[in-house]
Amino acid sequence: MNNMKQRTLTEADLRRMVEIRNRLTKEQRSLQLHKFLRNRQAMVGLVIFLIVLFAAIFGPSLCKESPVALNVLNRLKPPSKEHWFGTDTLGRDVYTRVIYGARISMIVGVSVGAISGILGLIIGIYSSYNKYADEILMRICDGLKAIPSILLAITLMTALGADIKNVIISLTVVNTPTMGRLARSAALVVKEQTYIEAMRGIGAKSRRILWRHIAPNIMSPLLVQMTFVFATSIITEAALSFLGAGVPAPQPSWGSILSEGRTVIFTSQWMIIFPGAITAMTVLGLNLFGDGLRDLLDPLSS
Amino acid sequence: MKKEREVIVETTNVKKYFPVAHNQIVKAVDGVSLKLYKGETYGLVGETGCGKSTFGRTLIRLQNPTEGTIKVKGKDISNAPEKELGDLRKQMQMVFQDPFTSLNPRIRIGDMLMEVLKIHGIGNSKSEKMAMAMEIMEKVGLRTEHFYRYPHEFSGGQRQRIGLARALILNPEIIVCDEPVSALDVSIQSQIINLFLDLQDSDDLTYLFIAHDISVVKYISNRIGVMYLGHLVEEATTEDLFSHPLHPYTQALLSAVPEANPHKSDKQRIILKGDLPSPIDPPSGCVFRTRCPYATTLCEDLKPQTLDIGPEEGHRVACHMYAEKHYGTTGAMIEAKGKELAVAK
Repeated sequence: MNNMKQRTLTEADLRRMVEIRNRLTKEQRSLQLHKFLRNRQAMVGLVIFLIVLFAAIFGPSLCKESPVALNVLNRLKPPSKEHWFGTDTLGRDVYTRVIYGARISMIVGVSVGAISGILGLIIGIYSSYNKYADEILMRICDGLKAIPSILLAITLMTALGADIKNVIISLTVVNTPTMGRLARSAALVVKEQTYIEAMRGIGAKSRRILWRHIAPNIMSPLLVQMTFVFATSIITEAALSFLGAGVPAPQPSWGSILSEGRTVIFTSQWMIIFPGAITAMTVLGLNLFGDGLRDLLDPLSS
Repeated sequence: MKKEREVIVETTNVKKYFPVAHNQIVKAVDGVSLKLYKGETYGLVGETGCGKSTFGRTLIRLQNPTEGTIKVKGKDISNAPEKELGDLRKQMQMVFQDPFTSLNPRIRIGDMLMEVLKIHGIGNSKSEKMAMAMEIMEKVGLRTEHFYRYPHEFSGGQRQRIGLARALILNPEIIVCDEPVSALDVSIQSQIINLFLDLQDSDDLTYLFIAHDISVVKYISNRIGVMYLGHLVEEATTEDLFSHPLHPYTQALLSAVPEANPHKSDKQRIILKGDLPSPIDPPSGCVFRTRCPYATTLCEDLKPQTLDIGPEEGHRVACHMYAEKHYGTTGAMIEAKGKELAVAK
């Protein structure tokens, strides 16, 4: 039966193949990069996001002052050379607090985006595969989605206590159902593709099919959704902190700075304008980036 | 033609029903019995929705048969659990219709071929697997430079070659080809068909070739089975079927094949009236009777048996018109059928 004569690859052959592979990978990468660079919207979004990210990572070492250093004599000073964004009701430098707040927003956004993305992927994959898992997981998701997300987040925060870790936990709980549903619907589409059937015909085990063949093919919508979850988490975190249910004082968060500025909105607008504008910019940047990413990953939607 | 040939696949009364809404059942395949001999190409034809693809999928156990047995090399695999199907998967492979959806867009074709080997634990080292994958790529007419390309970088014909390579790399004996050329350009079709034939010669492959294009099937097949509404209505060698089509459906089907020179042909075009009945509620008796120009009340009451009628051996047809000849009289036939039913009870 086996009339394939065994052929062996020499070192030179293997080297040549590696060369071909590297060349192709480079070509394919540069093609994608070009496509992305041409997408102006996504680039603008990415740049805004990177600036905020840069500020969050390196900002604190660029600021001379501490975000919690009180200077009561200098309270509610308008923007000046020393205090770019002015000072707040306790004389703290608003610029420094916004920079430190960026760190909190980024930590919350990245963690919630990543964790809910991963959980959503797992939930989606298994509920597309197993009928019983589907029923159970989707009913839980339905239940969680029935409660308005900010309400659910506040409830969870009250139960868990104000802490950045708990903010991440509660926002993950709020966002995972959406991710799970998205991953599930994408997986159900991919599951019906002929190449999945072909893999079964070859004798691939379920786990291989689920993780090596279905999962990579549902990553694009999930990645796009992750950028949106990132953005909404920043807003929700700010809202929670604004309501006093988020990151505890005196840690600076964009929401709590806004909350403090609320009382002096008619006299010291800088306390509202700067953190508010930066929150809006960050979210806008992320949404632009997400839209661009969607156009890039899914040519059919554009 | 008369020599004893090795039966490699034998199906007996294979049925595949799908439950649909309102407790109804689609009888996609309703009792198909056929044999595949080693090294032959069996063409399975029939119009869209007649169950030929479902039959092919059931044969390689992509779906479990509702009823009936499938024997591969004498071993009944119709109810074998997935775990025991490893060997079957090696022996039987499938080539799919649409070359654009049958390849995972995110996996390089070389990696895909190596993965097939990995699943079956063939090849010790990575370089050995790579060598085997490259071997098979050359065999189906792809260049080894294509090893690290993604499926979307290929044309339809090339993709079908990749699909064939994926099926062949396990060295199967039987390949179920589910309309492998119907999505391709006519010029590419002939290339791929010739590739199929070349590979059959070199590897001693057995094909179940599912198609709706009669001219393709005529070119490639040794024997042809005609399906209608989940039933195999006629089966014969290619020459026999084309020279003496017996079943009225086959006659109508063949009359629809375009002639190279229509002016020279004295062929009568048989136009079937009506539509394909729903497989949820197929007609009683003979499934073809609603559209058959020769239908009688007998056809309504009694399901025709599949009988080996001739003129040549192995020409099987399920139609009362020929059953009468076989049994002598209608009465004798009904009697025989009655006995059979009694035995079945």
